[in-house]
Amino acid sequence: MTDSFLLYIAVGILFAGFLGASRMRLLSLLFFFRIQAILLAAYAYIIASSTHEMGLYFSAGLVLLVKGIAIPEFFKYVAVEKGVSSRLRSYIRPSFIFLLSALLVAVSIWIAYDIAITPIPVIASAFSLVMIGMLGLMTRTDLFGQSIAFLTMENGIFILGLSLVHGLPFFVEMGVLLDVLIGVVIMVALMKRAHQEYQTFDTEKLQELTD
Amino acid sequence: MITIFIALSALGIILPYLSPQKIKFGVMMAWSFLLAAFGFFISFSVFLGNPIITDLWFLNASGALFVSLISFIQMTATLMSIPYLTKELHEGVVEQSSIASYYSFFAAFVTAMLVAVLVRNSGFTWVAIEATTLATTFLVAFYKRQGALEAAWKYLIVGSTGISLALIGILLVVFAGNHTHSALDWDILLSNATMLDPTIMKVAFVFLLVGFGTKVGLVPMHSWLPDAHSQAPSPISAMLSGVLLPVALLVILRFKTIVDTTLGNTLWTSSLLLVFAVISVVVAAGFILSQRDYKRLLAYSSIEHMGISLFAFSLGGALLGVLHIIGHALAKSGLFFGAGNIITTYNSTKFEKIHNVSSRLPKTTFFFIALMLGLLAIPPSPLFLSEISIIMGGLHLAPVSTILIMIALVVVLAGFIRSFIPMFFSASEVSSEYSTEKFDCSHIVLALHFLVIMGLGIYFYTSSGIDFLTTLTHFL
Repeated sequence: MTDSFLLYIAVGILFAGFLGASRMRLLSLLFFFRIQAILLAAYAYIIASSTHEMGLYFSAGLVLLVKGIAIPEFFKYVAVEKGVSSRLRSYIRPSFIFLLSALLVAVSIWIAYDIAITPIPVIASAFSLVMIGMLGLMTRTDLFGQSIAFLTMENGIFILGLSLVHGLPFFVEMGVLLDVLIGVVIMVALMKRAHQEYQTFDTEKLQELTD
Repeated sequence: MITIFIALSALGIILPYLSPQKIKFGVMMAWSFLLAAFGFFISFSVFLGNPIITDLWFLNASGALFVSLISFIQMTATLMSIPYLTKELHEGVVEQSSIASYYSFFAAFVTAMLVAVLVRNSGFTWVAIEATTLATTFLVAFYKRQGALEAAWKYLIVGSTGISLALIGILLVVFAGNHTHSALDWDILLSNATMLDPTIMKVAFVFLLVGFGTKVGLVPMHSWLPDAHSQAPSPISAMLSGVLLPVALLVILRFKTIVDTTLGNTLWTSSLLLVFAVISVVVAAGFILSQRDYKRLLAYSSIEHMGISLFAFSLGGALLGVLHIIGHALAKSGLFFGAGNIITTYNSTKFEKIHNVSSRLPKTTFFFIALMLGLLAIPPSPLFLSEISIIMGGLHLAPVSTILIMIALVVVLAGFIRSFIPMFFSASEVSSEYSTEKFDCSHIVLALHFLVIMGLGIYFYTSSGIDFLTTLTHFL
């Protein structure tokens, strides 16, 4: 019973990631990211309650706190404080991102079947999130979009970790989460500086260094 | 003992905020000397005796080599920071208030690297490598200018994305070891290696190679490297290039040892490394030839040298690979220090804006040219021994790749001479330029690097030098 419930949650996370991928408004992107994070925390909690690993309860709580609440609120706060338009930017049109994301999900399902590590739907969801995240990193041209894309990728890896090996050893897992958290703080610090200097969160101004 | 060592290193993170403005440089220098002495002591006790394995730490001879390299280069970088930052403060490029955070992130960077080399759990090694990215992002963005911000953002995103892929690799390694968490310790991974699932370990190694390869700067995952190296303050560039890249390479080599044991041969991992090695050397050579910015040129040269080391490892010449890493670390960090002196004098990193350095900075010129010749493998540089042996061995084992690398090396030589010789010796339009260069810390640092390279170069030509190198070739 828990297993099939876990599958639904994993697929739910995938849907949230997939729908978020083509969002071009900051609030709506953050909404889908928040759903991802809450479902992710639920996923970790269910695995924790079935394996009785204390570390996993802690991870679940931290994911909810950091990714579900702190990060979206933090981004929203920065956006409101700087009074930016909440319209995000991308190299390619949202509808095309939608199509590409669908394609990536299909590829992920195919890979998951191919390597045949069970449970296949969960592995497929994890791969999809990693690939959707990478797509976002490549196509989005504003600092918010890139950060959320990066975190989406991180979520995919977290699911992979939970389903493959029920999470890494507790202290390593904490180290990973701490790294993510510090990473986000640094991202926001850099964003604020970029905004201070160019009055925009667009990466257009950040394309001087080439060979 | 190692715990105290790491604690001392971490102390450097808060030390700059606690010490008063006037003696900040002195305090950090004392910290750095103490850390270096401690590092050398631990390393030599391992070189002369047995590996140290505790619950938390794992240090064998090859790890001790990296601890000594980090100890030495953090020491010279701290020394070099004094004249460098003093000049930048004087110019008004840097504010007094940012000196403390500079040293704090510097210490965090050194600590993260030491932990990455010393920690026994490979999961923690991952955490530490990612921590190096986070600590250095601020240092790359240290200057309040456009390029620095862009380089830092790119570095953070590309570096963290790459390293995330390495995390997938580590998850797969745990999966291959049937979910037992203790299986993440380096030595236990190796002793259990034959029981791991070979197919999953192959997939894991691809992720690990691409992930940590991003930090090594292997082409095509290198895009962050020239930007970050050229925008960071010079002492930081020296540390990034001289020690951070090899530390990431060490992690790859450790996993290679494990995967090789699982598969029962070295062929599969080696052929994978060979491809990345040759591409890195060839592509970097092209960029070196057409480069107009000397710090970027030095950065591309780091990619090239990492490629050559990797080439040696892929052909089974671990001894030569290690020798190459040592020579490159010392020569390249010295060159970045020299570049620091040129930047603080000319305020530019473009070749076209700098002429006749030899008359304005004669002392720096002497050491820069000497270290450059060392980097270009002129004997008695250790790089001469490694490159000539790699090429001679490679011509038997992988003739086509070796010939490609030989051509690339000629291109690199041409690139260095084409760009640097005019910068140092061409007459400038301003005729009345004379030397105002005073002897300071930076020249002591340059001389030290020069002497150590010469000394090691000669030592490694002796048979006891070769014996010593052989003890460094067991990564696990």
